[in-house]
Amino acid sequence: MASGEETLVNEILSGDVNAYALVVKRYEKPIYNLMLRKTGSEQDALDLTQETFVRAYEKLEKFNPSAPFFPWLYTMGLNLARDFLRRAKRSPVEPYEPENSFSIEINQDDRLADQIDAQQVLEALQTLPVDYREALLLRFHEGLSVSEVGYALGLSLSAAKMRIHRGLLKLRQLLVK
Amino acid sequence: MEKTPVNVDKDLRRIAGLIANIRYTEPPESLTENVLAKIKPKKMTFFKRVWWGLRTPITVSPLRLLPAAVSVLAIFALALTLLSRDPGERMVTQRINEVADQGLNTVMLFLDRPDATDVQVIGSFNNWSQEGVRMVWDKDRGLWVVALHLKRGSYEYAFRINNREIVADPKAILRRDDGFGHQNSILIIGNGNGNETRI
Repeated sequence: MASGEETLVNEILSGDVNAYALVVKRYEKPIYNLMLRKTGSEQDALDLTQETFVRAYEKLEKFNPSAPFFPWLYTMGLNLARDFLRRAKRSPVEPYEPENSFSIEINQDDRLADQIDAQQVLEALQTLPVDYREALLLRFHEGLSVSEVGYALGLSLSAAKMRIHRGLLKLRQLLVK
Repeated sequence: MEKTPVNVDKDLRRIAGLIANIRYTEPPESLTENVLAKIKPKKMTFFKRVWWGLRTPITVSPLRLLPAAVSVLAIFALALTLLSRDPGERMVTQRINEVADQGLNTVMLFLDRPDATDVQVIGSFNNWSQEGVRMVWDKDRGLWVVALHLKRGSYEYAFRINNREIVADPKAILRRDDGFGHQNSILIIGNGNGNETRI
C-alpha cells in the first residue's frame, strides 16, 4: 500500500470517517476519469465514481492490507462500470478489439512526429481498445508497477507486460507521421 | 515478446512519458462530500481489529521479538478480560454516536495553507469553543482537510492557523464581520442529502 495508507485504513475501520475522505480525495481523479472514458457522460461518471468509493468503503474489511489499495479500488470501478453499461444496455464508448486478432507490423522507416504532445496522445488513446488503454494509463499515468497493473486488470505478470508493450506499439502506429 | 528496434524503443519511451503528462479532468468538488454523506462510521469489534492487525504485514527484527511477544501475551490477556465484559461497555467516540444516531450531515472543509503547522475550525457549531476541530494535512493533495457532522441550519465558522491567525474560508462567498476585526464564513446545511451551501 502507499505510505501511510495502512494507518489510514486502520483508522477508517476504527470508525474515523474523516480518514476515508483523504482516501477519496487521493484517488477521485483517476477513478472519475476512468468513468468518463467508459461512459462519455459527466453525470454518469460522477454517479459511478461515488458508487465505487461507497462500495469500496462497504467492502473495506475484505481488503487484504498486504495488497496495493489503488488497483483493488480500480478493479472495483471497472466492474461497476461494466455492470452499469450492461444494465443500461449501452455498448462501451471505446472500440472493442479482441487481443488475438491484433497484429502489429513495425516499419523501421516510420518516425514519430516531432511536435507531438500529451493532448494528441490522449486523443489517440481514446481510439485504442479499452484493454490497452487502461493498461497504459495505469502503468504510465498512475505509475503502477507491471504486477499492480496485472492485479487491477486481472492479468498475470507476463500478460500485463505484453498488454502494455503492445498497447505502446499500437499507439505509436497511430502517432507516426 | 517481439524485440523492438532501437529507434522504435526510443519512441515508446517518449510516448510513455507523454502519457504520464496527460491532463485528467478534475472531478466535481462535491464528490467527496457526496460519498461521505452515504457512509456511516464503522464499528470494528475487538476480534476484527485483531484479525485486521494480523493480516497487516509488519517488519520484525530479532531485537524486537521480545517486546512483540509480550504485546501478544498482553492482547490475549485483554481478550480474555473483554470476553467477560458487557458489549455495551465497548468504547466508541461521542462523534460516532452522533453521526450514527442523529442523522447529521457531513460537510468537508479544505484550506490551502501548506505553511501552517496546525489548523483548527472554530465556529458557531460548537459555540466558538477554544477547542476547535483539528484539521488533517493531506500531503498528496497539499490541503488541510476536515469533515464536520452537523445538523440542518446556518453556521458561522473560521479557520484558526497555528493558534494565532484567524481567517475566513477563501471558498465561502459571503462573509460576516464578527465585530472583533475578523470575518467569519457562513455555512448553510440543507435537507440532509449531503448538499450544503457555502455562501
